[in-house]
Amino acid sequence: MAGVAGGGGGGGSNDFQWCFSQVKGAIDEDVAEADIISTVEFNYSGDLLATGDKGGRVVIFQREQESKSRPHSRGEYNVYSTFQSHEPEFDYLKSLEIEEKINKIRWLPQQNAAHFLLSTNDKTIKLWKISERDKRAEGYNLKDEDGRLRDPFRITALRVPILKPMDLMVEASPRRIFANAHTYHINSISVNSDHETYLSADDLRINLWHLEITDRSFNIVDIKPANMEELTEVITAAEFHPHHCNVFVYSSSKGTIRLCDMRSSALCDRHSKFFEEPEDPSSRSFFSEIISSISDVKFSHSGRYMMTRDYLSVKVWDLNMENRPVETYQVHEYLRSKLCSLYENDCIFDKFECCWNGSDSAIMTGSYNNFFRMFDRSTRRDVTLEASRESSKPRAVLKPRKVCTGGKRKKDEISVDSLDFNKKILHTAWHPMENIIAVAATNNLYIFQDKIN
Amino acid sequence: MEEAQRLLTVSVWKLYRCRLQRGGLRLHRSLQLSLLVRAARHSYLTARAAAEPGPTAGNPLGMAPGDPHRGDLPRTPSPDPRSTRDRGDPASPDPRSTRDRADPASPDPRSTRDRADPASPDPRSTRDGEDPASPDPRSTRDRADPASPDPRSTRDREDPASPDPRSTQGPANRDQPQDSPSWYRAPPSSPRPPPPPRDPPSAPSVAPPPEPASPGAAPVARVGRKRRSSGSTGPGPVPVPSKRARLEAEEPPLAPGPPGRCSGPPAAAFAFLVRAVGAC
Repeated sequence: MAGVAGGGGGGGSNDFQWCFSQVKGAIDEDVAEADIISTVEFNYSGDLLATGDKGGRVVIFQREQESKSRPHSRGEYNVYSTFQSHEPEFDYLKSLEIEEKINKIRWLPQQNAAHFLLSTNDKTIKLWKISERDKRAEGYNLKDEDGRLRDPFRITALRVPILKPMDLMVEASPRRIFANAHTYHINSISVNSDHETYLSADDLRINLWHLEITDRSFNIVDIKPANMEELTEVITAAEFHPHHCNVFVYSSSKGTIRLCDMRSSALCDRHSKFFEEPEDPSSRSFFSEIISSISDVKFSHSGRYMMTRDYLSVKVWDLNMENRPVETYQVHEYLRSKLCSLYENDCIFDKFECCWNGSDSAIMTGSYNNFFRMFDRSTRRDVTLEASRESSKPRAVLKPRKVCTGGKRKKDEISVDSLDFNKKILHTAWHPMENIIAVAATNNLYIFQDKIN
Repeated sequence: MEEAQRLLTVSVWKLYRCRLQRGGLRLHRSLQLSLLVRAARHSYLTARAAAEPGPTAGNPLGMAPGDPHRGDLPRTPSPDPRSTRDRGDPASPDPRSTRDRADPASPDPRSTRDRADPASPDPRSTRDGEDPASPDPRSTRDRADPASPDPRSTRDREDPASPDPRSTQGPANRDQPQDSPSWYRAPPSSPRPPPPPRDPPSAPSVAPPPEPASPGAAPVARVGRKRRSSGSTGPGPVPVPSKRARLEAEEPPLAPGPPGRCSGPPAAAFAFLVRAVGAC
């Protein structure tokens, strides 16, 4: 059965299938809380793949060069660097523990040999420089090869240090720390297209930073009411436009999206555009407010569309039309009748992310039971795939899965009641130019690629 | 009604557990829970009022004359939940219920400065007028006597001395005060037979507050506590009954059971929860 995706760089959809490529992470049944992956992000070229986990660690995978002996298999991703980005902290003023969990990672465009990324936990954003060192200097005048200082009186001649090759060493060093600007929990960071500024968003405020300046930021959105009892919504996600450095959007817990233009005013409390779809009164329930909350918002690469993810659906919006989305895709509508149970086990509060493919012709998002869904925008086809160890054989073709919503269950179908809600795919990423996807399933990272027929 | 009752029970426990998780209280989660609690409570009380015949039929809040709830609710029912909260209605759940008490485990984001480290420069230090030294004028108001008008309605801002310069109509204030929130509309439910009365008919009334000290009496000595600089000696401080004492005065406390379950008769436990939610 054909899979769903667009061509890597061009448009159109070819019939092809998704194949298993790699899986990273331990296979233990007991998953440590700290090992749970909390964010996944490809860099601009797709050669680097960064993951953050609840333990505050960042693991970067690098794609190996394609092998001529295996022309049909693309380069694999291997560990490039691992470092501890954030540590648990304690706010003594408020008697609050600050989790070290990495909420978001965003790569900066590469400008030299080194790579830069932003990582954030609930309160602090850090700029990391990842650089390679494959040479070391030998023949210092003032110190020996083992680093001990030489006795100055024994230095009788000068020599020029010589660079000699060494084993590749990847260093990660924090270059900037942006702290003390957020009272509430940071949920988003987004690098601007000017490559000089970025925004960080918490529940009630959005701040604009310059990458070189750490001791101040500009507050550009503040929805905190004068009386907190009047609070009705919070900010859930924010992102800069991919091309217009003055435009950004932020989503709310009420299912609305606001587009703001920083040219209109320094403080963007007034939105330029307001996107909201009228609610269907027939589907009103106790949980309507919760499931309408937007968990992720992403601009398309072209900048013309944006995509939002709420609990049950993914919507594609045209920036030129505010009253309704142009496309709506139901991710797992069969869960609508189970909302009460999902509320009791807290699954209804899960924040799913979504992503575009390189050509904006397909979108992907996660679900439960380690299922993830892909939607082809041009053909309107969708497919459900599963990230599981059972189908982890090299180049094994992923078989589409189907959830039985009622009646007689067919072979290879799974009933709604059999879904494992502890296995959820919240974070996914799509290579910016090729059909390679990274799917985070709890503490494992699955990498799949297409197999063109 | 049963669904609303069950949701209310589950939600209250979730609100309690939210306070114990790492990273502190999550504003988004707390907001969602509180909205659902309010909707469930309204649905429950509406269904109960519709189910109970007699004098409560005309009262949309379903309060009998001898109902211990009655004293907790405003005298004039209002469709706008915010107007009842501004009068210090302890019966309506407060989305910030866990932050209104002076509890260091659940700090009020308004009561301290918006920076974690006072020594480090705050990029936003010129914008927020919150003074961590001054007490939150709202922290002691949630236990106000519901029979007396709440002067807090004129002091809804965090720091009356320096109002937030950005407290203009923002995206959060889109809803006009006269519009009833969308979650106030109860979901359609099939008609059910009237349930048996849950509250005991002869429940004790709310304990009256203690008599204030007579004018001219010496201030009550408070050993081990800082004396607030008032600048004048007046009548001594009036001890305000704690929330727990007030609730216990209404009904004997129930033995704690496992999370998610109430020990004792479900009806009595749930009524306790409804009052506890309203008192928060």
